[in-house]
Amino acid sequence: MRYDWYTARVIGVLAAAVCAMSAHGALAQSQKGAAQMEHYVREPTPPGIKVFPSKLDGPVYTDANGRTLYQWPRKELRNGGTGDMKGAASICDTTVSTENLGLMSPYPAGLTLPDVATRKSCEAMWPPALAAADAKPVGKWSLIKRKDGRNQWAYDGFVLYTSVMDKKPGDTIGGTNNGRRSNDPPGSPGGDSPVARVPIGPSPDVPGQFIVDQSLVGRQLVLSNGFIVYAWDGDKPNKSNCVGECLKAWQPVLAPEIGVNVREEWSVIERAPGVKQWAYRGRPLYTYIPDGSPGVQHGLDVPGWSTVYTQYTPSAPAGDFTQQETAAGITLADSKGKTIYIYNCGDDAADQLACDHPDTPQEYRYAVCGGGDPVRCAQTFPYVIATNTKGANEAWTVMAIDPATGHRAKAGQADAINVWAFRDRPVFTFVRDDRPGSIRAQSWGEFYGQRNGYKVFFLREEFQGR
Amino acid sequence: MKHQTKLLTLALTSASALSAPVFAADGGTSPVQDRRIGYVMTSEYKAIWDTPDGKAECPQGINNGPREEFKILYPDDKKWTILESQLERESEVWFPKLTAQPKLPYYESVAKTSFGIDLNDKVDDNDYTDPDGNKGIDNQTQRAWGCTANYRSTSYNLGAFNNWRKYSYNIIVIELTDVDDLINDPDVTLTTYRGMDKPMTDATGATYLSGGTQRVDMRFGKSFIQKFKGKIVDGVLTTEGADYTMPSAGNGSSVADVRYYGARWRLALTPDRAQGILGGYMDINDWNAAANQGRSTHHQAYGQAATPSIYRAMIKNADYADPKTGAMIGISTAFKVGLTQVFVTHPDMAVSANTAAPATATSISRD
Repeated sequence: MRYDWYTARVIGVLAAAVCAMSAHGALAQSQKGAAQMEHYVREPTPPGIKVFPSKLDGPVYTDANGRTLYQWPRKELRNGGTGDMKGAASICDTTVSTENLGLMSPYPAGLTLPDVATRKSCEAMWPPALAAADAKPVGKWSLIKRKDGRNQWAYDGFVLYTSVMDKKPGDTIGGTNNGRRSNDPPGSPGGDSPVARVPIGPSPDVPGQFIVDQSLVGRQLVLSNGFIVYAWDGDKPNKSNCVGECLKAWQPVLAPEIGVNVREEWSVIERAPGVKQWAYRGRPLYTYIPDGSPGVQHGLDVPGWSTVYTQYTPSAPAGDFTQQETAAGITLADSKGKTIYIYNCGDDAADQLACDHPDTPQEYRYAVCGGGDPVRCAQTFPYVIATNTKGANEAWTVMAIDPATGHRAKAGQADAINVWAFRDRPVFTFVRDDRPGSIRAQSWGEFYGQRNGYKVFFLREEFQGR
Repeated sequence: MKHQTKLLTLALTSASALSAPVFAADGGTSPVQDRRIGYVMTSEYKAIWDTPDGKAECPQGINNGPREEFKILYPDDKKWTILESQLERESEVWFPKLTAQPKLPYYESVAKTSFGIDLNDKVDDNDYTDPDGNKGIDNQTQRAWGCTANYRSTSYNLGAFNNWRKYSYNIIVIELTDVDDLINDPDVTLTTYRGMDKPMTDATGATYLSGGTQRVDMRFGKSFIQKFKGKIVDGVLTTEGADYTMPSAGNGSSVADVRYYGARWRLALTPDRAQGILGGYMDINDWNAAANQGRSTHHQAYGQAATPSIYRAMIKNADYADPKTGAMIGISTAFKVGLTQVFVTHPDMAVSANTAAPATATSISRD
C-alpha cells in the first residue's frame, strides 16, 4: 500500500471513528501516564526553598513552609498596565483598592468595586515571600527591599509571593501556568486576561530544541518553534522502526552530532551513521509532516501515534465525565455529553484580584451568567453535580456550594449542593448546548471569556483560535 | 440522460462559446478535473448598501456605540458602582431586553437598494432592489445594520471580519461537481466543506494564488458539509436553497457557528476565481453569539456597535420562521464573497498537487 501523508490521513479518519466510539480516549491516555512527573534542571536555591512536584503545574518552588511561590510580572492591558517590574520593589502592598483602574476598554476608571466593604489588600491576599535580614542572593534568586524596608525574595528579577488560597504544600490554587510555554516571557500570555500571578519553578530538563507547553491536559513536549512532537507504538525502546514509507509522513527529531548533555529520561539513538534522533523515556520522537503549522496535531488521528507529555494533569472522574467531539476538537463533557466550561475572572483594580473562585465576589459571574440573577445564572450555567467523590484527585475535588450565594456552603448547610471543581473552582455546563459536541458558550462573557466569562474545557483544542 | 441534456446544452451554447473564453472540462490546462472544480473562500464582506455621507439611507444619523450609550446612561454627575454601570451593560450583552429602550434610540436604514438574493422567489413589500435592478432582494440586515458604523463600507471592522476568514477553523471550500462547462451547465452540484490548509498566497502573503490544494476536514468538519443543486448560465452559477452551517471562529478563540436557512449562492465563475453573493436567512441567535456577543464590548466600540441594540433590531426585522415552532428565528442577509480556485483532495483520494493549471494571482483587496 502506498504510504504517503494522505494515506495517513485516510487511516486517521478511520482511527477517528474508532476513537469516537471509545468513551475515554484522551482521558485514558492521561490516566496511563498519570504517575510520571517532569524532570527539571537543578539550580542553586536559598536555604529552605524546595521544589515540589505539582501534578497541576509541574515542578514548582515552595518556601520553607511548603507554600508555592508566585510572580506577578507586569503586563500591559488596553488602557495601561499593572504588576511588578523586573528588578523593582513590589507594588502589591497594604492598600485596599476601592475603584477600578479602567485598564479594560471601553469602561472608564473610578467605578466602585463590588466588594469594598470586605475587600482585602493585595498584600493580605498575596503575602510577600520575605527573607531574613541577613539572607544572601544565590543564582537566579535575589533580594529586593519592599517599601517598608523588609527583604523580599525575587526570582529572575521578579519579587515573589505566596497565596492565601493555597492550603496544602505545593498547592497552585492561587495561580496556574495553564496556557503558558516554558519559554514564554514574563507577563505572558498576552491578550485580555488579567495580569496573572504564576507559580514559579525550575526549567524543564529538556534539550534546547524542546519546550514544555502547559494545557488543561498536562505539560506537553513540543519543539521550541511550537510544532507538535509524537511517539509511535511501533517503535521499540530506543529503537526506531519508522523507516521507508513511514518517513514520508513522519520526520525524526534529529539530535546534534556533538554537545549532547546527559539528561535523565533523554537518550540519543543512531538511525544511521551520523544521523541521530532524540528519544524521550526511551521513545524516539518525530514530527508529523502534514501538520504543516505550529500547534496543529493532526498526527493524533493516525493509529499508534501519540503526543508526548512530561506529565499529565489528573483526569476528570470517569463516572461523572465523558468526552465529546466538536467542530473545534475534543472537549470534556458531563455524563450526558454536555460540554464542560471553566470560569475565568480577574477584576479591573490595580491589584487585579481574582473573582473566579467561590471565596471571591460573585457579582461579576452573575452579571454574565444570569443578568445579575443568581437563579437565572444557575439555570443558564448549571454546576456539575457530584454524585459521589469517587475519582477525586489533586485536580478534581467535590465542593459544597451555597446555591443562593455561589460561595462555599457553611458546614452542615441543608441546601448545599455538592459540585465538581477543577483547581478548587466549580465547573459548569451551558443550558443552550442542546446536543453533545455543542460548544455555544465558548468565550461567553467579558473579553471572550478571558476576563469575566467561560471557556470550554478542551482535551484537544484543534484550532486554538487560529 | 443528464449527460445527454448537457451535451445538448453544450451544442446550443456553442455560439456564445465562440465569443467567450472556453473552459473545457477535463482537458488541457483547465482546473476542471474529473468534472470537478474547487474554490476556497478568500474574502467575505457583509453586503450593506450605503452612500458616503449616509444622508440618503440614514437621515437620523449613525447609531451610537457602547461608549456613547454608556455616557448617556451614566453621566459624570455622580459616582457609579461597577455593578450598576459596567456589569449592567455587560448583563445586557448576554441577556438583552427585547423592548425598545427610549434612552438608547437605534436607527434603521431606510434605503430601498441593497445587495443580496431573492431567497423566497417573491417580491415582498420589504424587499429591496439591487444595484443591477433585480427586485425581490431579501436582506433585512440592510435595515437592521445599515446605520451602524460597524457594517458600513467605511468601517475598520469590515477588514477585521474579513480576516476571520483566514483562521484555520473558518476555511470554507466549495467544490462544484458534474461540471461539463463553466459557462453554461444546467445541472451542477455545489458542496461546501471546511478546508484544512491555509489558502495559497504569493511570497508577500498579500495576494491569493489559484492552483493550490485544499484537504477537506472529515474529522471535525462534518457539520459544515452541505450540498446545493445549481446551474451555470453565462458563467454565473446560481443554486437552489439549502440550510448551511458556516464555521465562525472569531476574536479571542470564540467559536459560534452560524446556521443559514435556505442559503443560496450566486457566483460569477472563472477558472481562477469565483465572485458573488452568499445569501440566506441567518439564525439570529447564532449570529448574535458569533459576531455580536462574540466580540468584546471593546472591539464592538471600534465600530460604534451596541450589541443589545443591534440584537433588538434583528429580532424586530426577523423574516424567517422556524418551520416547526413558527417562532421568528432568522433574518435575511447577504455576503459579498470572493473565492480562489483550488484542487480539492478528499480522504478517499490519493491526489497529489495538480500541475495542470498555472497559478494566477488574485489581489487581496476589498471586493
